[in-house]
Amino acid sequence: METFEADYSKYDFKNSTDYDVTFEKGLSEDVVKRISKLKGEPDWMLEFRLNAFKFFMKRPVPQWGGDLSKIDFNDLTYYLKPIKDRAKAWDELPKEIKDTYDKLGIPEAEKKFLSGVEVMYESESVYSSVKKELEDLGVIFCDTDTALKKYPELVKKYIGRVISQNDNKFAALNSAVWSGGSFIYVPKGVKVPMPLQAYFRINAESMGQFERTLIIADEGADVTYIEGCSSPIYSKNSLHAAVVEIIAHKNSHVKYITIQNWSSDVYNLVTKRAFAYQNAYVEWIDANTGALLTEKYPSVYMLEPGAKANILSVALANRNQHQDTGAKAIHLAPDTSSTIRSKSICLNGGRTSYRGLVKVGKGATGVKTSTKCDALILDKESRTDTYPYMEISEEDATVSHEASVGKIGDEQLLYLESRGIPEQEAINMIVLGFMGEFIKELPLEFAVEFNRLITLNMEGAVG
Amino acid sequence: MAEKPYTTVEEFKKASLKSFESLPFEPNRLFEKYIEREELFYPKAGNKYNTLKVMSSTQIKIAPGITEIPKAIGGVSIDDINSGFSSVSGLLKLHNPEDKVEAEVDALFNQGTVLRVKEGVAVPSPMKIDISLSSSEPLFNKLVVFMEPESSAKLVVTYSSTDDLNQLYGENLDLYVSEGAKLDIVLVQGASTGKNLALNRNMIVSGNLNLTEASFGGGFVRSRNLLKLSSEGAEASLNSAILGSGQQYFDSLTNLSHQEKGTISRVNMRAALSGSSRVLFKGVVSQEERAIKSSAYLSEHSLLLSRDARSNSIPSLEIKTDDVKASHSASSHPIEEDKAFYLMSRGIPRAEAIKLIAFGFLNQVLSGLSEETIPMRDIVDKKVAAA
Repeated sequence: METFEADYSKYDFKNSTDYDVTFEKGLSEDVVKRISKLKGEPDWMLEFRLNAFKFFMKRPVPQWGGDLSKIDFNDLTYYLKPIKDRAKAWDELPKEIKDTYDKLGIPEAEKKFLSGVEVMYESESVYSSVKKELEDLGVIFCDTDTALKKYPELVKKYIGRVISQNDNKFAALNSAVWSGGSFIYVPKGVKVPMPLQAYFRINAESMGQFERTLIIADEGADVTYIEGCSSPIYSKNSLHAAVVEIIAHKNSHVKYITIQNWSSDVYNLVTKRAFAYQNAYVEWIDANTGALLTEKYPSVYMLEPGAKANILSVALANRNQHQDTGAKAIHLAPDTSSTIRSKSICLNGGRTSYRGLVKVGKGATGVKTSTKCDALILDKESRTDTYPYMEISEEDATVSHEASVGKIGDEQLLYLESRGIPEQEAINMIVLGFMGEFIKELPLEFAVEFNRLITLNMEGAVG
Repeated sequence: MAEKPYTTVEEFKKASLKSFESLPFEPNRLFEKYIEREELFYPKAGNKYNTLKVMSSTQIKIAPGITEIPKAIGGVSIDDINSGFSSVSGLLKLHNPEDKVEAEVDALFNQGTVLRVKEGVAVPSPMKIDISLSSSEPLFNKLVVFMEPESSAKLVVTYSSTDDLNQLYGENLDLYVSEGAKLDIVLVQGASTGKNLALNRNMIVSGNLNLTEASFGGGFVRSRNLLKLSSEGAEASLNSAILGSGQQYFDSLTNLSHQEKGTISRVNMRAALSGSSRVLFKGVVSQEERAIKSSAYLSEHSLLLSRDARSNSIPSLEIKTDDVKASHSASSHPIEEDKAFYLMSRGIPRAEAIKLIAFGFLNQVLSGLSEETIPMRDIVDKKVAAA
């Protein structure tokens, strides 16, 4: 069998000359002011950033999760402006990267976009038809910087409403230096017919280090958003601290799908939270396969009766990786319900940790919530943890939690092998079966890519 | 700390006092957000318990209330910790307290007892210890139970009070179960609500330990179950039934570590809560690198009987090798109306039906114990007021 090392550093591609504007390393009030000025932002946003900067400086580095002690905040660059026209030859890319893309089966156009070689010429026509359709529906879909210019009132009304500048150290950092991210507004009663994806937008800032995404679904609206992609993404900075805020108004439905595959030297510390109002339904489908350390716990605050949450968290930790992921379901109103499922795999000494919180506040009667965590541990060097927190302050809540951990069963392997399936393939089948619940949530082309991504990670897992 | 055994009780206490002073309130970052009313357990100016008073070894007594120990049977020895010290000084080195209150009790204990069951001895009838908490003087008690290889015994410890004076009780119960030995221990905690209890159980098990606890007394009850399964094939089960009412608060930690191959643990925690009582179940079960083929089960279930009752639980697992079985479950729910309806349709008044359901819920973890050992039905009857 052809060997393939799932070591992302080999096909990370770095080219620091690709940026128009690069700030010197380090963070100060002055840097924050310059970012805001460069973007030509209104005063209130500068104030928002400066406030956040103060909170960031005040808060200590959190100690409860993975090891963050190696992050040197003064050794990071807080603003990069990519050159718009990045016409670089596809042929110049290292062979390994191209091979990886081929193995993942990424369409030609997308490959080029991801590698930063050129803008997505081929998809431009697709994009404009999508754009037209969305505009006709009154849907706003652009990057957050553009939104701030074109729809300042909307941004001002909602930004920081779900995740305040002082929510945690990394949300504070994001609030101070954010750039890019997606802004989506879906008007009353509008159901967006196709999943929205950041790479429809021809804008490199969509994958920034401190992206800020804000999704507002008005009453009765319905939208699915897909973030990331399955191919490894090189990041210039070793810290990625995004903030994603969702506001799901009455009777709306928002589904947010993430496949995170940062290169393996990145700290991925993301705050994702949704407010769900009356009968709104929020879904987080969140998969993490890349990064050195991920700390991400998508949450739904159910603020009004009938709100619902569904969170599916998937993690794969290979060599040296620590995926500290999970979910939070906060029930603050009667008759709200939530489901949390977590699936994790660790191998080659990787570590997965599920960390979650289910909270039923006083007065939130008739709550139903269930959590199920399954972990697969593929070798004895790897480690898996489960840290579920349950805080129940209302008598008639029905709360359940289950978790199980195990390796691939010998009897499962034997069964497949006795039918002539080679061991490696049998392992792949079992692992993909284990992930099945997640894969079926993905649009077809993503599912295919994700399958290949898992298979790539599994190579060499026999033993 | 040096590896050589302590030579005297004083030396041990001095070392403990030092670690007490340096330890944080909560050694585990997982649980930092739940630190609450810890000050109840530390000396405070103006309180009855206001200074650290380290008793000299000559003042240490055997805990009174050790009764019905079958003295007639050879092979069981009971000593005060001072005279029995040489036989336990090596054991004390096996465990360094990480818990501040545990270190405090080790430093301050004024009662200290060593109970030893000799190799191969099977004690035929249960040994009983009655601990009476009926005063306002703080009481610190250290009880070391050492089961030598191939021995077996059953021990019943009861806690009761005849007054409701405010009192602090700190206890370190150290259980050492050697290879081939079996210890069944039953704890019946029915102190009055004026008593704040810190119950630290430090268990090092190479054989088989079965601990069952009914906890329904006390005001603030802080229990710490620290258990190490330290030899191949060691087994432990911890079963705890908590019945809370009024303002009672039960803060319970179980920290269980599988250190060797083929070890088995079962932890079942249940709480039925009425009034505005609260429970905090903190659990960490870890399976270390060498604990292949080990099996762990951890469950934390709460039945909330009133709107003001509260339950927080964190049943955590930390698994550091692959060939293991581990699972946990946790839940919180109200009285199941279908069960209540079933009973009521058979002529049982609602209040009675609720008591029966609560009893049934708790009794599942007390299985096999007679009403004589734990009069659970009686206790439920008294504590679960008509809801």
